[in-house]
Amino acid sequence: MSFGRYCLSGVAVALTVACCGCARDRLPGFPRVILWAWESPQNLSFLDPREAGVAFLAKTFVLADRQIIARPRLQPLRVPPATRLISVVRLESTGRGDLPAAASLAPAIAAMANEPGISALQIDYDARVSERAFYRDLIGRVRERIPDGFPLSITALASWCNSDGWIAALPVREAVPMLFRMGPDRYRPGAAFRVPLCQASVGVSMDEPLASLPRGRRVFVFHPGSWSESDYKNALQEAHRWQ
Amino acid sequence: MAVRVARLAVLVLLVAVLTSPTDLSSCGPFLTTAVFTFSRQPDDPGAAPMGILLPTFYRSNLIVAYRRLIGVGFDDAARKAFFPPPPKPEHPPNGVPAWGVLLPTATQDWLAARKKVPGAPEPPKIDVYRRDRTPGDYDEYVNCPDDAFRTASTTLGDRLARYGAANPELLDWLRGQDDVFANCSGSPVNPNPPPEGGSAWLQADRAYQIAAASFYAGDFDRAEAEFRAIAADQRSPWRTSAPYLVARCSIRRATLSHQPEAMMQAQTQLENILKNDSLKPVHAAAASLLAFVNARLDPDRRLHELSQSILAKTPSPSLAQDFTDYLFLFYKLDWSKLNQPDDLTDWLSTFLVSPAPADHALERWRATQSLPWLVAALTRSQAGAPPDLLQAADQVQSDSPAYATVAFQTVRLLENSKESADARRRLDAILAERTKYPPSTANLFLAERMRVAESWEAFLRYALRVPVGSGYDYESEAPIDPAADPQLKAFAGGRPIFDMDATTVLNRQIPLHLVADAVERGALPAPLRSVVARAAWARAVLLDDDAVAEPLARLLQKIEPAWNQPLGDYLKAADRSAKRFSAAYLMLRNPGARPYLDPGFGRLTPIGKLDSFRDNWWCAPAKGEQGAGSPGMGWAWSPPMSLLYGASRPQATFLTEADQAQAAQEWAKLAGFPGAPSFLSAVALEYVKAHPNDPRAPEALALAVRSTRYGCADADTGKQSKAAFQLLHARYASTDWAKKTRYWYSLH
Repeated sequence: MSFGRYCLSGVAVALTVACCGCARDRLPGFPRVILWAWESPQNLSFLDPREAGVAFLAKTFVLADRQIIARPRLQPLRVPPATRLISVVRLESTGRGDLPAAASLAPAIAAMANEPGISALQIDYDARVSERAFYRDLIGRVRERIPDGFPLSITALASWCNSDGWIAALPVREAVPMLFRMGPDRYRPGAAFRVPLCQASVGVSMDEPLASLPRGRRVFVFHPGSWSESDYKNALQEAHRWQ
Repeated sequence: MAVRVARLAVLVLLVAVLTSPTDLSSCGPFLTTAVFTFSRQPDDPGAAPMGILLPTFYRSNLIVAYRRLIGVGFDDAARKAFFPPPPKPEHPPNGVPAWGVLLPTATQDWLAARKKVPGAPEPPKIDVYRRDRTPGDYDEYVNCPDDAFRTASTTLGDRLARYGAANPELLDWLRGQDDVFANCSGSPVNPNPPPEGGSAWLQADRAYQIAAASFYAGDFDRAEAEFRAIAADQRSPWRTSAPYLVARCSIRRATLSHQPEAMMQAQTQLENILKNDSLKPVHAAAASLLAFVNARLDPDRRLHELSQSILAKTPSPSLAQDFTDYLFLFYKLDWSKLNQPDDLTDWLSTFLVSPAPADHALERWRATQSLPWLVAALTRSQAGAPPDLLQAADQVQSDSPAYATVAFQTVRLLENSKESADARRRLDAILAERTKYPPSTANLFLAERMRVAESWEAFLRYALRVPVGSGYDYESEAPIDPAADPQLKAFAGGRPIFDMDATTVLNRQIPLHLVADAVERGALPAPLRSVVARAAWARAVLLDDDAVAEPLARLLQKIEPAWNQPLGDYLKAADRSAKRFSAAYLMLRNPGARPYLDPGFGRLTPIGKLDSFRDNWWCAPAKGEQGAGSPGMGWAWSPPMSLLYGASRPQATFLTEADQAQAAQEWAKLAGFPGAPSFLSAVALEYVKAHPNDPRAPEALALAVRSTRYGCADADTGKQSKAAFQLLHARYASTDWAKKTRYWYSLH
């Protein structure tokens, strides 16, 4: 084989490797735009279920003082009945190393997959380095308890998706890198994500517009308050630019 | 074979190049900053005299301030109502295993109470929250509130006391109650009818349990009918509560079943209860619920009522709740539809940073001549405030709660109008008594005084301020807590430092000789003197100003023992190259050394240690965010400082023209330097090439490479890093420094 052909085959291999993460949709059946609906009254009746899905904060588990405090969503959420819904579970810990056994928390999280109308589960936990073993164990146990094929997603700090990469082998369908609330060290346009789990979606916020996003990824859009129809349309327009 | 291996290597490289990611930022960090004036709340809402009111305060603090401005005051009862202590955490009862899912305290207490019934079965699973499973609706709410469990516990205690634990009907009662609570989250469960021939008390309790079960199951029509029947039963102990629960059925219909007209039914029902003296035991609860209903049916009217309650001289028993409700309604106000807001609401929305027209405050002050509106009009004025407003401000006496704010804003307007002499006169009178003001307020007066400093000495005097707290953003401001952040221990005892207004001037506008003079004559307190001396020395080195650098070096030898030896080398250096190298060597050994001053706490990592967040070896002054502590260099004013300067910067107008020119020259020269890693590496390389036998050479080269990894990189850093690395390994390969330096870095 000539050196030129060899190089061409190299390019082909490289492109295959590069694209293998995006060949299969990690959330099949979900629109390319997902609105994160946090703990505010959310009337999304204007939403077109073909255009956008909704990942709503359904429950927060606070892990502190050797107790698990479960705080459900207490603000209403209205969506058109056909909307694809992702139930988001947020975990908050003290960072002092006082964590429960994963086995004591996993059933409560996994039970949320059984709620009617829910098509996927997403865990949102900014686990510190010392909490990673717990989080890894927890995800494994939740995965075991929810039906096969039921998508389990997690949110991820941007660093987990590249320089760190500890999430690479987690049994989740995808990790959504959150490109907002990053502190002084902000997302730089053009940056990519090394961990394949992070290559299907990105998370952005309405109040932190970014100059550009990696193309061809599902876009999760966070709103710090209640979504309005104009915000929704702006989000769709912006997200479609990067499809 | 060799060709195949080479081709394979090329292939692997190609794949690696094409699939490797570009660099990506990571999360955080959130760095601790010094707070000189709390921007979200006063040091103490009850402080006397009252401090300066800021438009960035939380609404609750502004409401308290308004009360004080109109003479209502702020006593202990008001403090308790407006700023209640945080609720006690839900307590885990004894015997509950660690890391169980914690239930509300009242639920835990009920579970403990029911154990007192002999033969009590295992309790059913209780979840106080209910989910609405209508497609398209996702509502979850507290279905069984604490009061439900408290009533159950109290009733059980009463029945145990009256009829004895051995009474078999108690077990029947308990089963009925368990069925009630099974409805909190699960499918409907109806308690069994009372047994034939059962006691009258059990019959009555069971009727109530059945109605309660219907209520929690969400069958409000049925529940209402059952409660109405209980209300009509003169023998039932629940006949007084039942009418109240009829109203609650209507409210739940309105809020959960989307029947808005039901809210009006609840209003009528509750008003009727309050008119009925026989229902007095539930009047308080009914009044509270009526307030809830009215807030939804006519929020504007309710807001007005609440405003009156909050401002009443004689506090209402419901003051705390009224305050909470007022804030709730204020947040939800639809300003476009609000007609004639009450004065508090109008003032609050005008005083806050809001779209209210700037001259509205002035109009309202002219119409009312009241203190709150005077404060608002002054706060919202920029330059050229009308004379009648300034005259009114001058009439405010020093014992007025508005005095500090009025004085601060008047001086600000004078300074904006360049009337510095008048501003100084007023501020000097205030600052003569500054200890009587809250520290946040005193710091703002100092900032105003520094802004119109008439001399270098005056500038320094007013630039020194003691931080009141720390935070990583304005929402997290709190008094310094060394237990929570040990790095701040040194600042907890009232150590004066510079805020950003001072460093902005010091770094860019003051000539080096003045800074050195202040250091040498001891015009600064001890810890800060050292910081300024180090920065001035580094600056003098960059500027090749030996006349300043050498005396500072001798001084630093005394006050910085760790620098004694290297500064001795610096002072003994025979020529310019050796001098620069000795200085560079010292700075390479101290990642925190820098030719400028940081505002606030500055770099909290010891000067000789690497900072985990890369605050090492300074950036080029003109470009770096670590730069000169001015808004144009990557920093933003704190909200209080923003009030004073807006988009502008402080100016050292007290300097002579010659000093201003010299400072400008020095700054122009400094701005031409690259960042420390490039600069220090270049100095080290040049010297080591010419002086290969200097014993410091390998260490200097190794540290130069290190600085290019952990310091502030620029376009040249990689080149310098590589050159230092190669020279180190070529010439000093057997040294530990070379062995420890395994790579060079290009991180720009």
